[in-house]
Amino acid sequence: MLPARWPKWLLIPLSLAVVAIAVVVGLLAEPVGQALSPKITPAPTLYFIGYAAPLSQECTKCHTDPQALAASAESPDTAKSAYIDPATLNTPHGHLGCITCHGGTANQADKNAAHENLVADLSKSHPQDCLTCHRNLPAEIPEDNLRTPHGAVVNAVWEGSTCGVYCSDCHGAVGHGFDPVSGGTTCSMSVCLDCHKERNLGARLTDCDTCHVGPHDVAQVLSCSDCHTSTETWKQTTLKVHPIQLVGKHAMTDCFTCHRWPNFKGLSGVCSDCHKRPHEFGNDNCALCHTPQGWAESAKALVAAAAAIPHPTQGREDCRSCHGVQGAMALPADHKDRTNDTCLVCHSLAPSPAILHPVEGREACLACHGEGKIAQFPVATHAGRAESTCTTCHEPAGVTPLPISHSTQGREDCLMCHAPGGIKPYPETHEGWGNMLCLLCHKAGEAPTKAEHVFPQDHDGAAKNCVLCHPKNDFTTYHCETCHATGGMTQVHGARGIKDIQNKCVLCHPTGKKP
Amino acid sequence: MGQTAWGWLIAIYLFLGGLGAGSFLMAALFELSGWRYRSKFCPVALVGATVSGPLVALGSALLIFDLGAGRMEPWRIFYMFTHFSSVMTWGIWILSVFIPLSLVYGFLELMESEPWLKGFVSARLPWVLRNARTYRRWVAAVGSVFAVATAVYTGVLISAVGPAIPLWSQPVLPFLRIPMLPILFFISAISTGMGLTFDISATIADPEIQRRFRVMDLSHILLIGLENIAIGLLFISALSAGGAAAEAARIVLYGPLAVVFWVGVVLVGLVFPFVVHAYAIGRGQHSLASGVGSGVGIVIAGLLLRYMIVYAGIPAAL
Repeated sequence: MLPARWPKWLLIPLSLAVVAIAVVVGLLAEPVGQALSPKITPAPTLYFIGYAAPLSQECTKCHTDPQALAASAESPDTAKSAYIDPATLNTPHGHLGCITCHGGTANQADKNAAHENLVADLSKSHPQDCLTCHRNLPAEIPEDNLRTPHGAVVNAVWEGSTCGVYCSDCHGAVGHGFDPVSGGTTCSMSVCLDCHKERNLGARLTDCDTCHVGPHDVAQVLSCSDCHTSTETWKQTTLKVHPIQLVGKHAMTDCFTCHRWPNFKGLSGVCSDCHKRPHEFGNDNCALCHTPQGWAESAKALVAAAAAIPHPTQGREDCRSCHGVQGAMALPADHKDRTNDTCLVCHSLAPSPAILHPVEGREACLACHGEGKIAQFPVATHAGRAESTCTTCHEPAGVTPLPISHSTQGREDCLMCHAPGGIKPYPETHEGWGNMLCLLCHKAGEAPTKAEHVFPQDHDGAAKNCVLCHPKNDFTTYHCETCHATGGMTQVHGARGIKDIQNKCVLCHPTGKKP
Repeated sequence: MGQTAWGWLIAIYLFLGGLGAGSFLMAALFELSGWRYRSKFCPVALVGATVSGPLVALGSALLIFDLGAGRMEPWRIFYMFTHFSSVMTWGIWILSVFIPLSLVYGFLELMESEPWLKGFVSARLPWVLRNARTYRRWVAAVGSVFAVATAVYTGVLISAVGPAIPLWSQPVLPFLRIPMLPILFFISAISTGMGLTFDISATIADPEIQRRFRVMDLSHILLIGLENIAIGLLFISALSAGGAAAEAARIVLYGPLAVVFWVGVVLVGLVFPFVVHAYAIGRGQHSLASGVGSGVGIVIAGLLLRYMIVYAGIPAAL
């Protein structure tokens, strides 16, 4: 395309011209492009002396040395306030170097020269310098529940005016140890209140919403002071507006142990909202056994007060079949919703005394047992009970009373012989029983007669003392071991080849003599 | 709003450094591959060799001009030759070698195409004329090393600022801690060099040239693809890094630089050239207008890309 007669070197300026045009186009297009582009929040740029720690060595040399300060300061108080903790030089602000914020003269050992054009509080004299690094300051700090005036302060700074509030008013000496962000040094609310009052800033000092952003969306029904009672900590609260009265340990519990953060929702009012049932028995109606006064203590009191079960429970697991509201032994009203599996949690087993006599033909218990009857029962606990319920608790003992081994004719006064101190006293279990009761259990005339007795009754001085051979007057068997020790008899008979002699003495010794 | 400490002068320096190095590499490619000798006159070699030195020298002058102390006390630049731990010292040495080499290369190329200069050299420096091709090959080979270094250095220079300006020091990938900018600027340098020497100059001198070098269309497609990947990774990395890096990316993608980026860089410098060269691959050629237009677009986009990167270099907050 390039005409042949044109010198080829023309391509060189032509190319350079294209480059020049590209640069011009770029220079012209860039501002147009920026004008057409969306705008975002302007971010300030660094224009102060940045990262100037090495230039501040003379400053730190003196201000971190108490002795040097004391020697050069006008007063001890001045020296104390001018001291800089060396540890703060390792903070982000410390890394900037002193002169970045405070001006003065870099690397100047002479005090007056070093302090020339010194800036004591950068945020007051050059507030825009703080914003150079600290951009996008939040209007709200939710984690601290704070609403800040950052917007008004920053806008005033950018407009070159002042709203009377400076960074250092709230953030103090951030370059020298004060750290409101980490919480290493916290700012009391009283500082805020005092400052607002002094400056007559017009903020509604009694309206929490002026400075605080609450996490709870309950402004329609509650104000902050309904619950929060301290200006120093949010955690100090009162329960004066709680819809139901909280007692016991519930009254000492933090709100959000039970309620769901942040709006107190999600609580249905049943114990299982918060408590997990630690046992299998029962249902979720914990209040049947437990009270807020003390979870375990209240249950223990119930167990201690529970009456014992006077009857066996085997085969009677359905307690409510008898003890239901309509049952034979109705439950107390407060047991209405309790289930069978909870009965034995409180009520222990204490079986009633057994019936010591045969019950056949004696089904009418109340004929003998009852107030004024021959056999009294505990009136206080048994009053009004029907005969049909006796064997529910009292079961026959299953023992056979000893028969009377002698004729009772002419011997109706049993206690004459069988009272304590008599020739044959009754057992302690019979204490207090009168003659009328004896024949209810003990039957007469079942002892063998003299004619039937083969073995000599005066054997070896027995003198008709039956119990020597028949312990407990059991005439169904005999017992030689009272006099003839088993060990000796076994040894003597064994030496003669006679074995297995237990309870077989009479077979070889029917007259009580050696064969 | 982006940073304003470095402005257009630095952006133009980075652009001219890359363009000069890329142009040199194009000329050297044609020289060392022998393509230069396929025809009597090779506009790629002539333009690439002759403009690279002046472009890089002009860029360096702008860099010095941007430094206040360098402008007032220019001798202080000599202090920088011995500070070997500094990236700027490496750059000064690279530029100090590359600029003279590229000027010599430009002289040797111009001598071949301009009879009056050839006669002048023949009369006074006949040994140069006798060994001109050998000298050109040596200068092209050695100069290519320094051209690559120059192109990469423009990215290394600003990525060396480190975490103080997160966008400039974004890594290629989170697990590959190599800064992305040297790679992106190198790709862009090759692309702009090819755009200037081949798409613009060679097409103007000989519109039929792309028929003989079909590989150039494929190379453009490849470079555009690589540049796309590099830019994409850079901004994905910046957005995921958060803080000042993300803010820089937002400025570019949907902030004050959005039009510059999407129109000036993406549309003009990537999409349009891609369409032109993809069309040329299918059709076997492209027109004078589309060829030159593609080159101009690539060159303008190269400048805007560097300005955009420089402007969006927001310092990390404390």
